Amino acid sequence: MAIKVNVDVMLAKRKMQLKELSALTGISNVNLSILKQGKGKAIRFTTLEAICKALDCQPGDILEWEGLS
Amino acid sequence: MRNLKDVLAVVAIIVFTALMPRLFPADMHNVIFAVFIVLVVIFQMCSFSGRSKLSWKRFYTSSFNILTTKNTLKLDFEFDQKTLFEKAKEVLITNGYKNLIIDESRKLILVKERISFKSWGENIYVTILGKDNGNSELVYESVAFQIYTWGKNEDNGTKFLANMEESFII
Repeated sequence: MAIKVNVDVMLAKRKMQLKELSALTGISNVNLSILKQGKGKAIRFTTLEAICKALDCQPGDILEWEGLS
Repeated sequence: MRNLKDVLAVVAIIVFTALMPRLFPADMHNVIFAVFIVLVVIFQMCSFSGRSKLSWKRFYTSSFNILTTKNTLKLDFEFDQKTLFEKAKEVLITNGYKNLIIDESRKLILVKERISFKSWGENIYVTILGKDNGNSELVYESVAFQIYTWGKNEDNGTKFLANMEESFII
């Protein structure tokens, strides 16, 4: 997929674990894991908002387009 | 009528009912009826005792068991067995199923739907099978404890698989 999900990068930057993010956002561990693997079909704005809020970052820090590289 | 088995079952019941007075002497009718009722009662008693047990799956889902109606749906997913198993549990709970009996080692989930005024209830078996390429297959088997159903069980299965697909929109 041309869109890369950088949740793991942001988690490392914030020194946070997936479990903690799950507790902060209310998104289940399995869903975050799927998102991290880049295997999700789509992402809701509400999910994106919750992750950005918890990690104190912008949507662009989480999603990256790597189409032309 | 959805398939040949249903048509044959209905035809067999009609033909047997029509021919019964000719096939058996009149004094035998009550005996045949009683034997039939006893068999149904024994089956339902077995169903009550074994419904919550995963070990009874083979008995209920066997094609030789003519007293249950089976429905099987399969779908491949590009996820590993563990992730898909967790996802299936989550979707079942989100769908409102409460009585989940889980076997982590066999990656098998049994959902027991209770008996109500409308139905004899059903057992739903969700199995996640791992594949060599790292992907997995979800097998949805529903068993209705009646000889004939009106298609609600099939609808439930289709709905569950649709919800599974939709659950990957996170």
